[in-house]
Amino acid sequence: MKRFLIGSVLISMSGMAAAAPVISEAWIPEQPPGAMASAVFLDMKNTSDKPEALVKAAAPGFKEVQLHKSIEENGMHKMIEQKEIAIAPHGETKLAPGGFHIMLIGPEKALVAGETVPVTLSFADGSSETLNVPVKKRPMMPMMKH
Amino acid sequence: MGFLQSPTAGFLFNSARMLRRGAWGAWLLSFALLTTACGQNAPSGNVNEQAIAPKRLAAFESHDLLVLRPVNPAISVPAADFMSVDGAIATPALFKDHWTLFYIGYTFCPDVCPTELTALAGLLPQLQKSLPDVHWQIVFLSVDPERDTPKRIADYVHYFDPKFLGMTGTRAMIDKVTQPLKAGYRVSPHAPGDTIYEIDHDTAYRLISPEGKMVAILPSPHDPAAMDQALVRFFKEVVQ
Repeated sequence: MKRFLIGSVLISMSGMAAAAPVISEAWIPEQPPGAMASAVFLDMKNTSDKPEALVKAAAPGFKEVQLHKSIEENGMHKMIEQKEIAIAPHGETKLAPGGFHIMLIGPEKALVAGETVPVTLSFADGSSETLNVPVKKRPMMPMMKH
Repeated sequence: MGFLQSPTAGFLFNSARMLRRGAWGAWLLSFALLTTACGQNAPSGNVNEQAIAPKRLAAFESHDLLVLRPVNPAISVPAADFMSVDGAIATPALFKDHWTLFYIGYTFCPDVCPTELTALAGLLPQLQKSLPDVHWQIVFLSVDPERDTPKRIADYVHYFDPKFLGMTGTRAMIDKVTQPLKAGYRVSPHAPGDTIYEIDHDTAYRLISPEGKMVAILPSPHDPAAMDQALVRFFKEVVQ
């Protein structure tokens, strides 16, 4: 419960005057048992006049956490590891199915809907935020771009 | 496009098109009239056994190639051996007595494969309702035999629908099937023993007939309602 409260408040570890990106709609799709990879999806809003970028994500209980982008090219799905995910000044970047995502690799135990995972996001301006991201079942109708 | 959603209007539209094609069209029209008279639930012969007529496949025009692309001529799935959690599986015997939607991927896939398998899980009950005579089968072929055991694949696909069939095989067997079906994939370079690597892969669903021939490709993004409509029309004009 304590962890939940801390996560909900979004602790800014170092961001001083610079307004850290505002994170919302964070969720992790529940994965099949034994699945070795999952993803974090969320929206990032940059309320400042300067370009911002997500440069690193970390979560306990995983072998590795990487920034990725899924792309569809000639009917082929590719995942490309990202050094950073940019957020334009006063812009918004969505991490969503079929696009950017934080890839959680090698979970110590299966993630089940209803649980939360503390995910720490580090930004280019040096600020970082930890939030407790809920695990949810995927909606039946996939939200995909047409 | 609204008028195409009405079976009658769609039928008249197609009939008019067939008439313009002369004798063949007229034959097809009379055939269509016959099957319509018999009702949609009484196809000529068993749809899960009969071979596809190449001429009817050739005559089929998709209303939206981004939803369904007929494969003409149909491409036979070669003989190959795979493993599922329930034992050995051989193509083309796997396809007998069923209409199959075939999808390739890998269980390490965090984003696209779960999305596509979720869409398939939503599509299947729709198809069972709109094409009740058809025995549907969903087959997932893992192109990642290094990491995907038959058990892992079964756990993975059964999460989306316990009726899904998951399998894999040796690289040679996988390629024997994916090459002629033009289901491309590419394993990213990694050191031996490295368990973290990605695989680029084709995301289409492939429609395979009971005689083991790929007759259509349904590319992503997958909209269950649009696919359902396209498949109903495909079955009406090509199969039943």
